[in-house]
Amino acid sequence: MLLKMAFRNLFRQRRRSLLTGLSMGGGYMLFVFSMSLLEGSWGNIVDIFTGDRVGHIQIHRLDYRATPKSHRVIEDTKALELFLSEQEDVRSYAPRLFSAGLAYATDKSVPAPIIGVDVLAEPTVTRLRDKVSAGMYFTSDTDSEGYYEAMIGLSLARALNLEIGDELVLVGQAADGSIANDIFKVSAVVGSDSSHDRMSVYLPIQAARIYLALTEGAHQYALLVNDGVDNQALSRSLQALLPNLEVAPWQVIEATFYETMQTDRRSNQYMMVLIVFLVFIGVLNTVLMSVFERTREFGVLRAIGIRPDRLVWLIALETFSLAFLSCLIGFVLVSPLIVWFTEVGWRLPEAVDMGGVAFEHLKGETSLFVFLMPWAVVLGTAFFVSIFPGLRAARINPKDAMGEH
Amino acid sequence: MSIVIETQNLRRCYGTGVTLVAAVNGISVSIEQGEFTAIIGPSGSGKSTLLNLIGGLDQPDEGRVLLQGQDIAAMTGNAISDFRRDHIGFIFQAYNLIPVLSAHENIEYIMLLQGVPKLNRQARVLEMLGLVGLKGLGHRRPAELSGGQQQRVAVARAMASKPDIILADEPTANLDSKTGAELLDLMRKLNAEQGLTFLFSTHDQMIMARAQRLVHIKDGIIEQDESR
Amino acid sequence: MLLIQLAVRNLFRNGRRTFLTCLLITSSLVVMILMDGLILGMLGVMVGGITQTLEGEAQIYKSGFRDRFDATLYLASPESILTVLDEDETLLAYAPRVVVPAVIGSSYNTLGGLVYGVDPEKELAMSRLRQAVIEGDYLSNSPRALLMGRLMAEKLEIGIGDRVVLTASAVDNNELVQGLFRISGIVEFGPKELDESMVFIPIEAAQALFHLGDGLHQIALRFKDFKDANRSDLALARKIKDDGIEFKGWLALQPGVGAMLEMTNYATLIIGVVLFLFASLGVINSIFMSIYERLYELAVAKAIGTRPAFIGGLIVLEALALAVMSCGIGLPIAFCLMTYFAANGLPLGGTMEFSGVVLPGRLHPELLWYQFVQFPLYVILLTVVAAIYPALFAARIAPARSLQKAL
Repeated sequence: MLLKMAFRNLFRQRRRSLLTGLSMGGGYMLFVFSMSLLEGSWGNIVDIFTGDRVGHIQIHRLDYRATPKSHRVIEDTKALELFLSEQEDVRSYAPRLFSAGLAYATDKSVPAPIIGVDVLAEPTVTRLRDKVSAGMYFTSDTDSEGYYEAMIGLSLARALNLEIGDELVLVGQAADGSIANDIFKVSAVVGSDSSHDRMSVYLPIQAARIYLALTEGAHQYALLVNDGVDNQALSRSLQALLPNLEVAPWQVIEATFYETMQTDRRSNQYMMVLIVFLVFIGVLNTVLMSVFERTREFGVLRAIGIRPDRLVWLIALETFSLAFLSCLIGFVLVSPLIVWFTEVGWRLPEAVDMGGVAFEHLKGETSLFVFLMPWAVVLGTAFFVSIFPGLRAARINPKDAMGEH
Repeated sequence: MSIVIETQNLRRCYGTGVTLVAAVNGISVSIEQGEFTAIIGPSGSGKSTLLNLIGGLDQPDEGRVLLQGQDIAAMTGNAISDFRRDHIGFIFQAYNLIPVLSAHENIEYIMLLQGVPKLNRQARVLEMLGLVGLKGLGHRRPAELSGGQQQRVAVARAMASKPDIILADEPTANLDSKTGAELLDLMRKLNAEQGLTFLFSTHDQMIMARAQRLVHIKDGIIEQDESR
Repeated sequence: MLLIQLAVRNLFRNGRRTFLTCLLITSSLVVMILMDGLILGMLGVMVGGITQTLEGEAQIYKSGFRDRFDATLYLASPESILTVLDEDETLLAYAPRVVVPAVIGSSYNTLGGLVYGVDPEKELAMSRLRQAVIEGDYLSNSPRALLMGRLMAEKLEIGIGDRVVLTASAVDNNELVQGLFRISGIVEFGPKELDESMVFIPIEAAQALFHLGDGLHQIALRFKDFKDANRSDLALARKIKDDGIEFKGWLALQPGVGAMLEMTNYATLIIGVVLFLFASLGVINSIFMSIYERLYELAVAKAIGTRPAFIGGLIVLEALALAVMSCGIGLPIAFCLMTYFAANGLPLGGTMEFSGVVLPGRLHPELLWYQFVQFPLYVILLTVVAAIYPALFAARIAPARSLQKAL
């Protein structure tokens, strides 16, 4: 009965309900948008960063990271890959080999890090293919002269004056101590002059193995996890299943960056507090004003015999229903926007560069938290706030209430 | 005597389609200077609508309203606003005054709008207050005045702008009979001594008793126009 | 003037509503100022952490040097640059450095790494080198003193007082040169990349050893206002940038962090705008309510001859008065809060072990004059703009209908 009255009251005073509802619904929508943006930026940043090189989880031989010697490879890669492909939370994985050597071109030489990657698997974990700024992403085939292809960083290309199609000679030390020595054809230049790999040479992993005189094995596996999976938790459970290897999340491998990010996030929490406060004041403002405006109306209700406590409930219920309804409508209106924002994103005036890949869009996040937290705040505030004027309306003398203009 | 107001075939309709109703359905009437006239009729007869049209508060669907020869039905925006300011005084049933201004300031308000210089304004306000018998109460705000006193201030304000006619829509409806009678006597006195033209819309017997002319309206047309 | 008088008196008619709306506008202003202070404070903390370790807020170096630390790419006659730096008003400190890749050897092992030749005095104001010393002594005037990263010392299996041999190619003739040094101190910055690959020696010793003369590889800079470092229009940068000389701010030197900061800045900006839209909604709501409450009275005013523009202007003026009053209340509140937090800091949930040196776990918002001048102006402007639509509505009230409706 009370609920029915509450609803009817809302529709009776359409103009006021509309204004109040608009204020609350609008507040809800704006709040949701802010949350999506805040939460989204962190997800964004992690994606951008981890997709550059490190991935979400890395696997190494137990003693590799402390002293990275060439022969410390993960040996049974087939078994490991089979294992990883069976893990439903692992989205993709890619093996890598690392070395260093002297890169020679015509008459100049320069020390260069060497990275052996699986030509097909690597783009499933990092954005290596997108980093190609000249030439073509390489294949694992040899050309007519029997040379493998190589991709080189921008600074290396400049230092050695290399162009697409030129020959590159790498000389170094193989895993068994012998001299490593091979010729490659430059198929592409990757990245910018501030990328981490600006001086590196990428080789197909088969070529890297030949160069290092390894029959099999990889120094590192980089993994991506599926959306919504906690990579740190997964890392721990994988570690338990792979006791002979070291499994570590990116938060450990790139601890400095992670620390920086966490630090920035903490300041964000204070921002959230400020946002919630402002929304609280906004809803309070709207609800109090609209309820106090109706004192005369409540006086009439009291006069015709409504019990004080019923009146408090009526007011609270009306306010709550209006808040609920406006948020519902707000939700319907804002969710397409949020989905668009998450998938496509807002075009930035200036692209943000990360390792030679330009990021042009600021993206949001779609999650239960993003939609529900604001709802809870708006509803909670509306309900809570309407109790005070409700109590006042309940206690006041009907004739005084009606006399108020 | 010169004609202050003349309406020609006024029509004003409300609603649409099936519910279309002509509140004023072809009314032609003239009011001369110095009249103390009441438009009377039952509720819904159209008397308030007619008064609104005459006062330029509303625009007719058909017909003209000539005030001192000018067709105000065709005026809009600032033109009609200024016209009302300078030529027409209004007294409504209740809540005539601006609550945040004192009685003095309420009367002064209209003259401020007209751009009357300060010295003249002060003098005239005091004069008005005296005429309506509220000397000394000018500093009070409407909330501090009785209903009757508020209506008197409304009269004073209406007069202060030196209008051609004062339109009063149910001025006594919110007052008890004694206060109402006093207010009406005041208005009658102003009409006689100052020559102010009054046009009422009412169904109050007391007004009808004092009016010199009664225009009976029913269903949007003039039924009877009697002068006494 | 009548309009102002009416506007101000109208504000206090409905004390409750005025109070509530004032609360909303005041809160918006205070939140705006606090947020800005927070963002700047945070930026300062992070920048400090990143730049004060070693990199500095900006660097001057020969083009191409940073690609692979090619020691032959050095600034041969840096005196002119140093003079410019000495005269510059925006700089807080600068530190000239020599940076040469070398092989670093102990009796037990050899490793590749970077040799930093630094001026011990100038480094004090520039980086955290001194604070990073965890064992032994900082560099002094002794020409053979050397500081080594902790991880490197462990790999080379040496400690304080032990001998170290540095081997590299001289920059003029590519011949191998060697220098003997003694470890005077062990440093730990925190990030592996720093602690396992660097040694620090006095700059004159480095210049002599590698045949550099007066040459420098890098001049690290610190500004009085760290934001100057990244400004594209910085006068200092223009004076120094040349055909072969680069001047880069830390955003360009630290791409990963730069990307992150840029993104969060945009996000914060958008959120700021969004929040103020929200506050405006509340203000518009409030103004409309105040109009609806006086619909009859406004209709009467129009009836007796008040022009529409006057009514509209009244509404706008009321909003302006409200905004000014709210700012008058909000500014002192914001000021008190900001000075309190700027002095005491906000807890950041535990200390931050960032770049090795433990930074205090508190965030100190930054108080700046523009927050107290520009922001109130924005708020006032916004409130007035919010009042425009309701003002137009009020101006267009048709007297006849409103008079009838209300009764």
